[in-house]
Amino acid sequence: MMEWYYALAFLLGMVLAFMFAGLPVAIAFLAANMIGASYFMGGSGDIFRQMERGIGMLLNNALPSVTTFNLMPVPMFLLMGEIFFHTGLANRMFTAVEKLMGRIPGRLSFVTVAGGTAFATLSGSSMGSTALLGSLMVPEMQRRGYKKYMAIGPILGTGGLAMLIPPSALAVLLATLADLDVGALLVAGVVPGFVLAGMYAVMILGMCLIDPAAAPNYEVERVTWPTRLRLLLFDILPMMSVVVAVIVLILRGWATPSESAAFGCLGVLLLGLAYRRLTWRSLVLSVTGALRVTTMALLIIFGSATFSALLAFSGASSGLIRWATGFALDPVPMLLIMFAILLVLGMFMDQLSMMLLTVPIFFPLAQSLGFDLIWFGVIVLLALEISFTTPPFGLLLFVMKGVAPPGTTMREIYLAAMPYMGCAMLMVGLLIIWPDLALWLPSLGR
Amino acid sequence: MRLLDQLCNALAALAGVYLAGTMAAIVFQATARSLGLSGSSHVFTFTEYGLLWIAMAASPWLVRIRGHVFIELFSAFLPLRFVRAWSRIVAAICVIVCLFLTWYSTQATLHAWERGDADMRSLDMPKWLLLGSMPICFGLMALNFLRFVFGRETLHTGQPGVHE
Amino acid sequence: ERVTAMHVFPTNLIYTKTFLAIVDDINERGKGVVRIDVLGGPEAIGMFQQPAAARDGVVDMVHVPGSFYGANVPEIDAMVGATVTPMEARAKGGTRLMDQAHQQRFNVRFLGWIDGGVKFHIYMANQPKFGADGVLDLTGVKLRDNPIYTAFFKALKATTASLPATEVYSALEKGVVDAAAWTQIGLMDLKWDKFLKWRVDPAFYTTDIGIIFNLDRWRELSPEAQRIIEETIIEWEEKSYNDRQADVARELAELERRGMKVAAHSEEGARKYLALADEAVWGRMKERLAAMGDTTSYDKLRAIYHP
Ligand code: NA
Ligand code: NA
Repeated sequence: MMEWYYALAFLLGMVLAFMFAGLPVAIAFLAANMIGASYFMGGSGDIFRQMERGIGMLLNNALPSVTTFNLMPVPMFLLMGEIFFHTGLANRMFTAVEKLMGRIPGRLSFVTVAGGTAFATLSGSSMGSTALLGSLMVPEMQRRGYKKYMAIGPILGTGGLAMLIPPSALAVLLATLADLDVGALLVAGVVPGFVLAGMYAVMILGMCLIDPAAAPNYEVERVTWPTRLRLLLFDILPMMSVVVAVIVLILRGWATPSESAAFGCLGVLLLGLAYRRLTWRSLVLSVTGALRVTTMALLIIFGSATFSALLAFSGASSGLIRWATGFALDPVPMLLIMFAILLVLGMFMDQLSMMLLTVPIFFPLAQSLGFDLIWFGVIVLLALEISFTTPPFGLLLFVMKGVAPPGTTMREIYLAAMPYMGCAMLMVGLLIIWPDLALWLPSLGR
Repeated sequence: MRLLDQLCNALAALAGVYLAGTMAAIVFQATARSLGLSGSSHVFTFTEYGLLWIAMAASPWLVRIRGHVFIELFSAFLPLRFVRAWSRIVAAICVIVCLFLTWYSTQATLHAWERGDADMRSLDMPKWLLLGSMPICFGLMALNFLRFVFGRETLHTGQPGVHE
Repeated sequence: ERVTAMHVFPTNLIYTKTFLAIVDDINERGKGVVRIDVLGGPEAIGMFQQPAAARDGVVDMVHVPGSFYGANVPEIDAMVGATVTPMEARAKGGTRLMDQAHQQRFNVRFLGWIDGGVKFHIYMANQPKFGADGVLDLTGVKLRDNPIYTAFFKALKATTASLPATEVYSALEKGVVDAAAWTQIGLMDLKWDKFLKWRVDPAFYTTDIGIIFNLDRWRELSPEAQRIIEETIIEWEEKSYNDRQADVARELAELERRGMKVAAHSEEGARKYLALADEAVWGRMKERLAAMGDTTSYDKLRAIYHP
């Protein structure tokens, strides 16, 4: 077997080289996977036998990672957002919101933070929420003269909150794997999650002050109170009620996130009918739009999930973890090392694989360092959250790329995500200084 | 050429119908469950498999409309007159990758068929029905990439950033 | 000699811990002869792909429940529906039959049945109801489905929902499902006991976790290495059986201490209930074997595993 650092350099080098050469991301992964699988999973025999065996294994291995109900919120929320957009209902709603909010600078960015926080956290699906808000808000905000980062950043930032604030399937999974109290970990994420959302809002305000042109403070016509009531009743409440219904379905346990998303589509379709905005053309455009991004994202997952597996199979990722955690340092540097490892792995791996790999090593280590494991669990969740938007492979970035208007470059998306990643890092610092941010709420229940 | 386009469009249309059908099926199944009816547990199984079939059916069409995300970094540094040549080389690499995938996914499909492999969920799904979508997808993708090698249009523009 | 190995479950599960202990034991006894390197778990190769990885020689040895490849080797259902211990099955020649079936159908050796004797219960959030025939009636109950027991649950008239084990906690929390089947141990590790307050007795089926080894690779091993691996696993078959029986007693007591209530069938009801379970699994095996044109194995296995 290859030493872990050669394996790591070999696999990462290949995928980065293919990507920077300009191959489509999914093809870059698949190309690196084929070479890597033939080498590591090929077993014995001549080169052709090895390729057949390795690549065959690879393709079989990709099946379960794509055909999982966990991914279903992505196409469903995409479809919901696209129908909202193509029927013109979204435009109608945001025009009304603007008239009601009057002259607050950057108002739609705040709407995005509030909506994104509510939606991402309650649906529990980062990708689904990014897909919905991205297809809904970004085109509308661009049309109104917002700079792209004012639209893209908040969506990427709040998308990650999905796993911090309950309900969160990922937090439950982490608690199960690390043998923590599920309830305590879920509750522990609440305060840091909302503090983080608050930080986002403050940051947006700061951005508006520094660069007033980023969020145009154009004159909105003054409206009379009866008009306001009419706007609220006819242009906002019906659309909001679909979104609220989706959330209620999830919260009351009547449906899983994927199911509620499907009901959301149905709701928007019915609204479109009621407002006489549903045309054959808008339907076709909606399905085409959802299909485009779904397929793009699924093919990347097809490639990246098996790349994750290859990193694990070759011993590259476990070698990296063992090496880095092998230093005997003080608790805080060790914490930062573990955090850094999660960020590095996060650039290339999906969250579930990362947890399976790191939990058996990190949590015993954290215990020996005297950390509170619930507090440590919250930090791990934060790292997982950030890894969703770390360049170059953060999945949310690609989803955003898929739904953003034509002409949006990946550079713009990377840059838009950076400040929000910074906030999350700051949050980790705050947690180190005041562990009670995470631990106070669960302590009430003990 | 026309035939290839029509085939890819038809597959994409099928995928779109499957996607819309998935939504309807999930609504149906969840409604049935909350009414205390059993519905069919196969509904979820087929929506899950649908994710693979949708991706495989629509990918060739997505190649044609440049819908797969890629990063333009190297070609952005190149002088503009080399960009087109480089883009054709990259497209050629994509063709080779897809051809390899076509060949080995055909092999994998045949093996699964011979050995009677099944994916066991609410029913024993023969694996060749899942794997079998891959050679079709990668084969058609290879053909579509081939057009960016020899055709008038190229995949890349030379503008920095990520494109689709 | 070097051997590669993988396990299908995450390392926090007791079953994986047993396997890793077996590997350590083999490596200890096999010093200078054979050494097993564990490459990892489901993060390296998906759990349901691992049996095929052993068959195709991607990895040499895999720790996996037989149900994961039951479509290829229908015989494994005899373990699921067994009434005998792994040791009895071995003594009566059942393990040899099982091994032959694996070699013939799946190009692997079946080395042993680990952590056997752990049975399943249906656990429910609400008080279970029994029908006029004394058998559990799951009408209106939303049960988490799993391919292992689908047929049995259908017979009990349950409404089923397919969910991966990782999603069951939140589904229980929200009431998307209000019942699930699980082994006698491990419920507390998954924290499901927070919602599932009733246990339905008696227990049914047994776990079918085994160790399989690529046949070509096995034949390349020296007789000495073969002997060490196989003998160690046979010893662990008994040791892990006893360990798990102790765990079962301990966990059942702990669950009852935490307030889990037991809903037991009447004697007559229990007989019918277990008959339904048996019918489902043995029937499936018979069906799958018949589809392969095998008409003799069923009776042989039934005589040994379910006398
Ligand atoms: Na959440
Ligand atoms: Na990532």
